[in-house]
Amino acid sequence: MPGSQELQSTQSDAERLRFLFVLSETLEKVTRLRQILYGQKAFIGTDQGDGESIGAVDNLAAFLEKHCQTFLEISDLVSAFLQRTYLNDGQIEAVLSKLAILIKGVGQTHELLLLLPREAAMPQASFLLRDCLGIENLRACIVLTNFIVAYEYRLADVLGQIQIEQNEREALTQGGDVLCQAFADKDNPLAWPMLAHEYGHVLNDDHASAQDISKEIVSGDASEPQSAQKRDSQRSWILGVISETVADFVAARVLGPASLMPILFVEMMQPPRDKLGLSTVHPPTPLRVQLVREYLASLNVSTTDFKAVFDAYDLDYDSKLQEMGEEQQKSVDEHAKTAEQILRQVVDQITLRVNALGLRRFETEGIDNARALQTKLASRQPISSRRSRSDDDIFAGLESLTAGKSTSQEAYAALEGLDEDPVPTSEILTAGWLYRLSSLEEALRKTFPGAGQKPDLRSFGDLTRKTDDLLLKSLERAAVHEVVRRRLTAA
Amino acid sequence: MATATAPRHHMYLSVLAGRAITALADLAGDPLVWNERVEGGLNDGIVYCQTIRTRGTSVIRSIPSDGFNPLKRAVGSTTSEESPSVFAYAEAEKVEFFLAQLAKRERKAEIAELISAIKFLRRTATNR
Repeated sequence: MPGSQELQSTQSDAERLRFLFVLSETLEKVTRLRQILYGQKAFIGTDQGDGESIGAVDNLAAFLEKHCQTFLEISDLVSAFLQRTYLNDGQIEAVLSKLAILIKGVGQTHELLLLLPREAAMPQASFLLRDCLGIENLRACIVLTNFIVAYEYRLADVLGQIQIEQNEREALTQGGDVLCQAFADKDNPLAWPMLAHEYGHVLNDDHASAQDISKEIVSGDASEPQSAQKRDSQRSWILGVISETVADFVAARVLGPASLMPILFVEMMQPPRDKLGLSTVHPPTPLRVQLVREYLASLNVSTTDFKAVFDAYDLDYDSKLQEMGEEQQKSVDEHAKTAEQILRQVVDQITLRVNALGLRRFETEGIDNARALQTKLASRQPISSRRSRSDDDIFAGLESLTAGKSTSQEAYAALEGLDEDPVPTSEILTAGWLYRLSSLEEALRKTFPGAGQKPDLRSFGDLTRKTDDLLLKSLERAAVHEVVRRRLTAA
Repeated sequence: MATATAPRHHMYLSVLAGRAITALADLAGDPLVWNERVEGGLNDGIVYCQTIRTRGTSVIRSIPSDGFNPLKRAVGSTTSEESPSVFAYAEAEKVEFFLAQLAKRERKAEIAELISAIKFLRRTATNR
């Protein structure tokens, strides 16, 4: 959550954008939770007519609605903020505080979704991973869970935490690695780059090939006994931050700058207290962002289209840091310096190792392609495929054909110009993010029209759902298209 | 079915805090404004503060401080070292007194006081 003192009437663009980002992310989560609860209610009603269960879902829905309604009480102030109308410090503090309470309510509702039946990850999430990583036989399942374990833990990690016997752990994970995804992001492909990061951990310590990149970088020995590692917490921490950087680079390599977006949005939603505590595993996020941006630059992939998010995030981080006590600030600084010192020494090795994994990379022209797709997405069309030749080129080819003179080969060659190629899923996600960033302010203005008009959360919900649908459809069609094309080529 | 992590009466406290903030926001815009929403919001705020005072320790500690934290591994341990209940009790008493004065229309609120009360409501409603 943004701190209050920065959002004065003379807000900078970054300050204003930070608020817009947090507000839009929160409203998206509200939309998705409502959708899940509505679906659950319908399921229970149809299957069992179970009044008690429906009552439980109703309670959750009512809890969420109460928080929404409480937030909407100050919709006139939100509208004024969006219109850049002057607000005094008390009003700004109130807007930010109400949003923080709504975020808390959304989080609590989500935690209570645990064990809801009949919810499953969308197949498109697997299509995305398979395509962007370029791994045909991806042995990973995706399961839905709460925010606490979502994205951050693979099942193997969870089992490790609860000290289950090694032989049982192996049996439980023999079906492949299990990636956890938050319920609320089930239909939200824009949050799925986190899955690519998590799969980066799988690649970092690939048990099947006995490869452990971070260990090899630290010691050149992947077979060090576990007990020795545990004895040295400093070493364990170093392995952790290197492992995270490997995973970050894997996600960046296959998805480009969009790989950073979900984590930055999620972090901006966090209250200061939760945000900057000393990590036992992760490097500080600003350092992660910096390293990933440098890595992408080494791949000649531009990150400038996402500069607004980076700027807003930096502002968010700095203001949360300022809200901390002096001692804690000092600890965070020391932690950041140590992590940077370590990672700077090994970043070239990490780059080499990730580049050598044989993953499908996000191409240099991916950003330009995504911009073109963004325009298509804005006109409410799926973005699963595109022609490689320009319209002019295709027309020229077709017009060159003459009845009775052109051969059938010439005719087929001209007609081939009409063929479409499946769009890489990494470009679909990048286009989705660019579209979201370009459209969220207008969507919020429609939601909070001001001038005495009631706020309309449905309008924001509609946009969220439509964008989800288009992206899901695009990912699915691109996957089917790729399979069909491969079979035709093989034939 | 769903599992509960906090008693229901605790969860709805944040709504009371939210309503109180609405009233304080209205007063920040116009210190002389008086209507049902302001009056109701201030009274909700008083109930909220009373609950924080009387149940301070159990309310504040009923959910781990990192209960909602999608970045669990990212942030590590975020358990608060300070004792929130002591501060919460004293602050709650102060804010309750302030809200009661406003509710009785005994005084006009200054922006700095409103901000301080809003911050208290926000912190206690989101830190649980």
